[in-house]
Amino acid sequence: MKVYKLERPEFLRNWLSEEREVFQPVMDATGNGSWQPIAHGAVEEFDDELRPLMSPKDFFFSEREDLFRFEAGAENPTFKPIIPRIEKRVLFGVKACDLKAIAYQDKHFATDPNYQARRRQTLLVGIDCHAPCEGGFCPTVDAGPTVRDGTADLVLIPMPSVAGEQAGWWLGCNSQAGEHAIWGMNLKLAEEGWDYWRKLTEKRAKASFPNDTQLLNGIRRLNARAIPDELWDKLGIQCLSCSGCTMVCPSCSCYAVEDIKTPTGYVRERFWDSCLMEGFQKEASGANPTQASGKRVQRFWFHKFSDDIASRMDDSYGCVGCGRCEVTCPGSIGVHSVMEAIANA
Amino acid sequence: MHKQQLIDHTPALMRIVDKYQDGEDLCHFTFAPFNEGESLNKDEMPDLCNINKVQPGQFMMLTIPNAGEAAFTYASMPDENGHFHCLIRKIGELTDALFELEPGAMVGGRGPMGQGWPNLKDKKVLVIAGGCGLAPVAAKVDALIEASAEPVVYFSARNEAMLVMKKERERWQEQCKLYEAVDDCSGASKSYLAGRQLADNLDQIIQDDGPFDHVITCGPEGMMLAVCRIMEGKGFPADHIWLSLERRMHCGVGLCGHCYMADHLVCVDGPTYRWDQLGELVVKEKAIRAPESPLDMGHAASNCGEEKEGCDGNGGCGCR
Repeated sequence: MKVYKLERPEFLRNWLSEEREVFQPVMDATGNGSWQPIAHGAVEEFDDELRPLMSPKDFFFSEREDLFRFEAGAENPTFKPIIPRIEKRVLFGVKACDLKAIAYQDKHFATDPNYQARRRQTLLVGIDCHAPCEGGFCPTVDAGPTVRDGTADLVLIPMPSVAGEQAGWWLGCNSQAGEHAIWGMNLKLAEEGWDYWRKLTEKRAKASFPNDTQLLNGIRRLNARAIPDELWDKLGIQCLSCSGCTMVCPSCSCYAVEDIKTPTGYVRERFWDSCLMEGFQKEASGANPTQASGKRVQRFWFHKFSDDIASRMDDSYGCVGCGRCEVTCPGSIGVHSVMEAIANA
Repeated sequence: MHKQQLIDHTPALMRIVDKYQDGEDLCHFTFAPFNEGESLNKDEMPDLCNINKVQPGQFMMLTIPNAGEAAFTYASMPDENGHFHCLIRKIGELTDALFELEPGAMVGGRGPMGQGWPNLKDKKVLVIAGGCGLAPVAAKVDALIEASAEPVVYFSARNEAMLVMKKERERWQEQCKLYEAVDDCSGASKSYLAGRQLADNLDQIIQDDGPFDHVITCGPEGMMLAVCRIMEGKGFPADHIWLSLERRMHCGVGLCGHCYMADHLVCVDGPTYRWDQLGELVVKEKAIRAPESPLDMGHAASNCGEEKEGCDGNGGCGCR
């Protein structure tokens, strides 16, 4: 990784926004933060701590989108693909957990034309976290707190703070696209020691995370199939099948499709679906392998923490430790409580 | 980033060219490329109609305009002109709409998808099908006949009216050994084997026509399970038994997540499975052993020391 010195992230943001649309986390009226476009020349401060409730997965795997259009006509009916046309853009200030999730989705949707049309036009500027966020446990699933190699084009690396003052930033350049993007900014190369300090920051951050024994136990037991069905059934009762966790989860990727009529035919729309919904696997005949709610809850967590699935996904778990499921669950079965129950089953 | 060849979610245009009733609430459809006969050369043949691209046991996604899309198995391989058959049961909104359509009507299709049956062309194969489960094995039976592998077919259904694929069976009567069974013999026009006596029937078949190298089975999951257990009970190796699963599918290409089974997606990893592979998947989804003691990180107050006598790690000893 080539590393430069950068006085302020805003300088980089403004440079990138000259030729691209730039999105960054902005605190909004909901109090949750969201990804908002920042115009070229805007003086909007960059909040390096803010992580929106919704991950940026919607930028690539759209919550709702059309896949193709059908035009009726007795002589010449046609099916035409609808591939999104996306201008060059930048996601600015993506945290390590969300970047790991994007890498996971990149693998899952490697052959999906709509996902790739968006992904290939997007430059990712990551940012190292220097302290745990509330409910986050990225180190436990090897997703953070510093940006994992190869998950971002550019990485904002905070210099160690001296006496509480932000000393400045390093800018890591991880890809050719990143190198091209900053070409002409005339940034000075960083001195050799940056790597040592970055690792120290990571060690200090890791040391501040809460005890994750329950999570590790839970993962181990889940993979040992040591969890009795009764516990899943109990968790199933606590699940309201609201699908909130699957919506906020940055690595969830299930979808359904529906045909929507147009004046001259129809479009096939795909939209996020959730494996926690009762009808998710229901067949036309009425047969449903996962009618029992406990089975569906089991599936969700199996997908997140299974070694079998990880082995198909470059050894990454489907959980990146962001803790959003905990924030959104109206019941009490976010990741920590579920893993605690599993660990002690 | 992973750069792979992109797939296309858009169906190819097809036409229904033939349709006839083939069992209770069942129709036998023939599909063909939409523009056949006009300017369609071999290169323009959609993959799902291409004789060189489809394997017995694979499936396709059929689109009925304004009614949606669902997975259907190939009941025959496409011919040189891209014509192929599907046996379809009227069972939901999409098939309701399909059954309204007449020959000439336009539909869409994507495919072929999934893993077909293994080759087995130099093997002695027993094919065991139940009800509509005859459709996914029919093309394989034809392929085995063509390869002079002399398959033996056992076909069972609830009653005589549910004995589907009459034309194919009439042909097979001439080309291979065919056994037919029904559960409910009342009012039947001829005598059949008793469908409920599956184990006895298989005994008889193995005695008369065996031994077999491989078994291919398709039908209701309960029936396939029974077949696998009976064959295993006879000492037949699990990795020589093949079956095909049915799951809800929205994409057919491993993306939408609906057809999961443990770490597999039936649309790309299946729908055909070896019995031992499937057994592994079933086990993967189940609790298989008693909990171990929790991991001790040395800093967890909730963890008991292992030295305490009588501690089962479940908190019963009062250490938590």
